[in-house]
Amino acid sequence: MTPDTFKQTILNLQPDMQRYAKVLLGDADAAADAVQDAVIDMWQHRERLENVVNVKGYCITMVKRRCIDQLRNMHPSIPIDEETLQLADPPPDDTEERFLRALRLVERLPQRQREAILLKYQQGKENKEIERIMKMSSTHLYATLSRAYSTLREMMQESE
Amino acid sequence: MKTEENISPEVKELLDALAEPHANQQRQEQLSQLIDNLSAQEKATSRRALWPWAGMAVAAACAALFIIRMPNNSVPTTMSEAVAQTDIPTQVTTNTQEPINEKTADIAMPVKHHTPTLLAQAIETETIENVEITAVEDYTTMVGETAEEAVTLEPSAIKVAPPATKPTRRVVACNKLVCYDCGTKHGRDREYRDTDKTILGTPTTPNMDGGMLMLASL
Repeated sequence: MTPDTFKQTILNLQPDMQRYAKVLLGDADAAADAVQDAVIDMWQHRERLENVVNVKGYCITMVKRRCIDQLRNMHPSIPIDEETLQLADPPPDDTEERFLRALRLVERLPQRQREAILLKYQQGKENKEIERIMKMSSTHLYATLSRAYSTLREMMQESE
Repeated sequence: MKTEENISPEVKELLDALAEPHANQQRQEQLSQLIDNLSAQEKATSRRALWPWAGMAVAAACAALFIIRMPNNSVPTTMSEAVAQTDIPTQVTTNTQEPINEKTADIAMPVKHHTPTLLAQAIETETIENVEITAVEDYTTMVGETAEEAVTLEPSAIKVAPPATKPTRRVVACNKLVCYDCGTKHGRDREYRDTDKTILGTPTTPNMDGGMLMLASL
């Protein structure tokens, strides 16, 4: 299996694997680590993939094993929730729905707060870069983001 | 910066949803890069794994080439073998100061690696059958029997008088004389034997008394 074939087959399933790992681990970064470990493992044994019929299920199983390993390493004394581990498929993909809901709320923020939030979360920029783009100090950015978080929390409470 | 500390879990989840498409795209790019790196690493590893085999192949080829081109320095045991090795470089010195007779070509010893060749060359140039070993005390004094007389002598006659006495020369004739140790031993350790393996003498043996061995052909 060539690298390009592998990427087309496996990396397209990354969002599913990420969601599944996040449900198990409860943390996006830990989930990303688990997915990466699983992808490396699958690459090293990629000859097995040629005989796999349900590639998505295979990937989810690989991620699940990695998540179990991580949970055992993080909390060796806490029993793993077997019900969660019985999860055969990743949670339904509501990424777009949640994204649009967040975007609608963010768009109601004041212009500076909205710009700071979108730069930080939608474009994934670091605070230093945001300070440079928006020409504001770190203190000013901190205050702007804090006000934005507070406003968003209020809006979420209103919408409920 | 403490911007993350004031975020409530609900807001954090909301904003994570906002970041998710971009984050997933970034993660996919990172994973893609990771696969490329792993692939390149595997290729490099497989190439490295071939190096020892390539090295062994080159070494084997060099060894085979060396063996093919290596001159045969083995010491012949028969005159025909000596004749066959005439391509070995020769160092022939002719003692013109004190010729035994007109037909004699003296070839000075010690000889390194070329005794068979000298023998063969002597045979070719003089078209003779007999090759003789001549024991002398030095180059300048040669007295005694002639080469013709020497032909009739036995190998046991190889004796040289002590230096205190009058220098003498004993010429011993022996057919198919070869130096069995030529090529492996040099100088005073060399032994001269007849084809029947009889040791005629060495430069260090008492009866040679430090004399020079010379090959002479009639």
